[in-house]
Amino acid sequence: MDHPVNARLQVGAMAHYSRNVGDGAMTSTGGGSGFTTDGIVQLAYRERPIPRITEHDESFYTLGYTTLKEFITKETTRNTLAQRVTGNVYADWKIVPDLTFRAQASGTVSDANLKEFFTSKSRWGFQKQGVLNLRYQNTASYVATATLRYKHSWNHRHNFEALAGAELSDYIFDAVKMSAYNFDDESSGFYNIAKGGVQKAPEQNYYTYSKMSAFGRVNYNYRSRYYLTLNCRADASSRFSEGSRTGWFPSLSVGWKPSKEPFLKRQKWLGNLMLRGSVGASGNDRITMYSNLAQMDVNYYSQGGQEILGVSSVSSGNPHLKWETTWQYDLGLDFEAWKGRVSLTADVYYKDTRNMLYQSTLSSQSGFARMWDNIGRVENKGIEISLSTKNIVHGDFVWATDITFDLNRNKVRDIGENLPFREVGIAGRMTDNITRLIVGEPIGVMYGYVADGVYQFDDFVIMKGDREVTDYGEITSLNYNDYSYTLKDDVVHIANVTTKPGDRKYKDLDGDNSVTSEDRTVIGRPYPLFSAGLANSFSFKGFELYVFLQGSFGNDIFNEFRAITEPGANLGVYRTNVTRESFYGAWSPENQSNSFARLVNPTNGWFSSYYVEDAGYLRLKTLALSWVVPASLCSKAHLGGLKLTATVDNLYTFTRYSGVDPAVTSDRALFPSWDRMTYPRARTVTLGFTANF
Amino acid sequence: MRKNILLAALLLPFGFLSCEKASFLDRKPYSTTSPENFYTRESQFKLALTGCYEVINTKKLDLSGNNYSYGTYSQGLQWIMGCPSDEIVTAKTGTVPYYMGQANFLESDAGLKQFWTAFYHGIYRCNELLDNIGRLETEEQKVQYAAEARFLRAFYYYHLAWVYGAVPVVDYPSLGKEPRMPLERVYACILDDLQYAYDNLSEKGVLTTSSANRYTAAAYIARICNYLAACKRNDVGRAFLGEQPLNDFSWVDADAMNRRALEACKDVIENSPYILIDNYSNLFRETTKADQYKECLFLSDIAINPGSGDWPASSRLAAPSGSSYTPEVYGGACMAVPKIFLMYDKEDPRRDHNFTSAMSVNSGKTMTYETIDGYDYPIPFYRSTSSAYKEWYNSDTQTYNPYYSGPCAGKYRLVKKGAMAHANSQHCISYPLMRLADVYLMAAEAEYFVSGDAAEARKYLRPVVLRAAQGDEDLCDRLMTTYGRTDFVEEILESRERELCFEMSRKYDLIRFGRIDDALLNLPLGTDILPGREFTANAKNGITAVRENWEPHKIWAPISAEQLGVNSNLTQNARW
Repeated sequence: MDHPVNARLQVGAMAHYSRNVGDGAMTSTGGGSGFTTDGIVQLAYRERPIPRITEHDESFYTLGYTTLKEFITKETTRNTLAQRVTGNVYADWKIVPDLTFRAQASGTVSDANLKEFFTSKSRWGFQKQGVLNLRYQNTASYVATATLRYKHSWNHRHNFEALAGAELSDYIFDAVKMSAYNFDDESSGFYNIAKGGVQKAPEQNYYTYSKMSAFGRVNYNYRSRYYLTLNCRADASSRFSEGSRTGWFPSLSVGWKPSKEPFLKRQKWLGNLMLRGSVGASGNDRITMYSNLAQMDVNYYSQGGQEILGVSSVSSGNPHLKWETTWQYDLGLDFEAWKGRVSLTADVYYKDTRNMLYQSTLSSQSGFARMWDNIGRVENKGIEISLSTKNIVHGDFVWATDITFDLNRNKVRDIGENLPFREVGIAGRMTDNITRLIVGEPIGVMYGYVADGVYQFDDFVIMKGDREVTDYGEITSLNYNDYSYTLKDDVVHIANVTTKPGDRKYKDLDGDNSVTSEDRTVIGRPYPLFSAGLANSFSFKGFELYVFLQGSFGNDIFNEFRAITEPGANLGVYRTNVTRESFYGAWSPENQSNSFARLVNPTNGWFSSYYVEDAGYLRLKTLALSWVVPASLCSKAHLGGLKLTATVDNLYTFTRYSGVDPAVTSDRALFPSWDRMTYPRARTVTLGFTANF
Repeated sequence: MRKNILLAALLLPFGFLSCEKASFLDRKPYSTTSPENFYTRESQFKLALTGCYEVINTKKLDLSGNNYSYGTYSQGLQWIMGCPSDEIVTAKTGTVPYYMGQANFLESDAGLKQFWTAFYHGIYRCNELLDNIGRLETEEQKVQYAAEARFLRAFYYYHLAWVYGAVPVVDYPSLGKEPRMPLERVYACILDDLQYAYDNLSEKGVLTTSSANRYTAAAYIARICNYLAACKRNDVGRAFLGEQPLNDFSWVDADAMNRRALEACKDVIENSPYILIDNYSNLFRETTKADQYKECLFLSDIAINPGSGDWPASSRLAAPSGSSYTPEVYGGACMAVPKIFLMYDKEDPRRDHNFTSAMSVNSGKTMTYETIDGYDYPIPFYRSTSSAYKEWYNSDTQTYNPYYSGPCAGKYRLVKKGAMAHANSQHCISYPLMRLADVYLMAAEAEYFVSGDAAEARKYLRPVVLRAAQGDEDLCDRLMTTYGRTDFVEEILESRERELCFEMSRKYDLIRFGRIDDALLNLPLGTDILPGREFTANAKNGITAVRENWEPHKIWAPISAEQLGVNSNLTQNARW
């Protein structure tokens, strides 16, 4: 709603309400626990394929839960509700013709509720005889802005605009979480928490966050040929302590449009040519709430079988936290010619992030495991190009091409305290942290062992009793364990691990003939060398064919899927499946493989280059065909117009990557290229029509 | 003029930036408290002290929500303190805490990492309370709280020192850059704290039953002193001093340590209210906490129904194994090394308690129950008087029925499934950490090394055996005779094993008496003790793993690569 009160004052308001209800089976893990490998999709891969290995095998059924199919369809239910009301109001006041004051406020109120129930037969509920989780969460936020704008043009030559403003924002989060276990009667599902024999103490979380900002901007251009913009913004965030709340973020940009210069104005072929340059700073305050403050929270100990309440420090707090600042330098070019037959945008940039906000791993004597801190410096530099051409425009036939090309290089330049690296606390399944921030390397490198094939019989002195065995032919899968195996002295040992033929072998990098954690190195980099897109469209009369190829090249993925399904670490135990190749290909005395190791061996699950794969791919992302039915045909059917479309998304991916999707997403910003059995990307076929009457 | 106004208007917003001090931006936590506003009343000190205890078996430490249960007595520290040893193994591989059970731990071991972080966090909580002690009103309160916090600090440090050897010692807010201190310094701090607690605590602590009191402190003094004396006498770790000189015991005055231990034990035995309870079995059950408090000077206390919903997993216990499908109990990761079973006289009732058969789903047996304090406990098959036992082992022919899987560790007993609030796979057994029986055994050891008089030392062994014999003096005499050894050190170690098996005492008994290499590398595989009969596949796999994986330098655990990375002043233990 907009309403002009009078010639100088206009007011308006807007409101929006949405309600989303989610129901039914779940693809992710229960309990809202986020990113794990126990979700339904992951279980579908990991589930042992047959409940009974032998006729009398009860081991699966003794676990007390149902098969995966029943589990998904019957034993888990979830209901989510999200409601949101947003609104904003504004008033514009023209003080004098060139000077406008604007006051604006917007607000959001939201609810997000979760109800879920896992029966005593479900995998997430059997241990606790049924689990019910309820979460009620609401948020409220507003942003109030006041700006004063002055705009004036002198003879259409000097165009000037200045703006100054201030902004307040506030955010409130309020949540309660309840759980109950031990359901003798499961018939009410998630609708009656009181039926739970055990009520977990409710958890409550309430926090607020506020920000105050001031900003000013000056725009000037001379005859739309020379451009200058000056910007300055100061933000003060409640996430930081007094004295370091405010961050200043100035920026400057200049532009020159040669195409508007008299000496080029007559070149009719040239539509637009602009050269741009800018330098500016931006800030980041996205850290865990109250990280600047030391906090104490409740816990429980026991006395005489009864629970007693305790209170302890849970966070040390860092009062020196401040804004992370990124300075960006950019040079750009916009070019368009021959009536849009060719248009090109190209940018070269350099980003320099300082005082990076990072949750650093602490030495334990300090009392805590992690703390938010401003450390170090990271740079990003790159090129972005997009080119659109109309290659052929001939009568009814048009062929147009869009090309995009992105290249970025990310590098950690400094990590503070003159350290060569910092630990990032992301532990592997069987090995130490799998990534580090290393000076000179990008963020999120894979840090682990270098796989070096598989130990073979030749590497060992093999004894049976007192007899040395030289003919390995006598060793079979059945009698393998009757022999004793001692690594020969000149063969690389794995420190503190007793290895046998068939175990995975790693490279000894520091030359002490023993593989220790010192022999880990960078074994993969998460960011592509470049990524590109190529879209072609061909249209002839009413037909149009659109083909979009997209790809990314030169990056690596840690494929945890294989690290789970190949080693057979829990073989024989309830849930682990093993891939066909690794089961049949596994090293055995009869099949002395040098790539697949022996099933269930002590070193196979380590984080190594064996599970790091080239993630380069080229994807036929969209193939679309459409036909605008000629008017003559339409009129016969009494239609004003008709368009038929057929679209296939994600038709085919060319890649050497063995996981389900090379374009992985990870919830860890500091370890982005991590495939933990992601939900597969759907191939979508859409048929459609648009008709006018 | 108009331009000046405009300029002023444009600059005005930046005046806003006095907002650095604006109260609008002062946001304090609502759901959590700040330490500055805390420690103002005695009741808050009590809450904080409870927090100091909580680390003993906590799952969570901080706001991250990360799980630390493999590093505390929740479900992992039992394995770190108790394994590997010659009394318990596991066939489970590939996850914590089973690496410890197979002597297959590495510097990346998640349990060890959690233990290091959790117990240093416990030390931090104690230090924080001690830092604020001046804010208590009365002198009496100050001494009481300080003594209890210092006891706990020593408790956490001694665990770290037993597992890692030399460790950094901090009694102040630390930035975490301290190097490891030599053992002499570490134990000086530990004994100093314990002595302060011993001198100043009364017979009841702040948290009454679960608190440490002066006798708890005395018992721990004895434990530390006997440990140090034995390590010195047996040159523990000397072979590795060249690579890591910090773990040196040569400074210890062994005789003085044993004397100090003996005095402390005598005080507990003669003056404390603790008794050896009649029913040994009630020390290890879920619902017999009142009995536990009579004998246990210290426990890892767990509520029967904690509101946090955090019970430990029963599968980590040395409990009779079964499956969640059957109406019995759930468990099964621990396997007893059958050798210990054979150390008991068949008349010794402790054998029937400490060893059971598996509660197998295939057994086709109907479970029978015994009722204790109103709760039904399943009776495992394996009682020497039971017919099931006779089915398992025919003593005439010395043959086994392969239908049964052999002796399980059955020390910890769970209530019939479904009778407790917790899930089938969980338990609420308060783990005994220091029992009066141990104090008697420590006294015997100290007496022997002080006086050299075995007969005098045996006087301290007798009450323990008498209780085991359920007060039957004749049986007690017979057992004392059977268990007697000419080498009294042998006798004391075996006595400890019989009484304290699966209570995390054996591993460090083997280490401090320099016997662990011999014990683990030659762990019997069945045929060694029962001709023609091998143990079941699971037991055999577990035992084989320990034999293969044990190396002498593993008496000291490795410090994680992560901690070495964040504190460059730390040095690694030898050979890791």
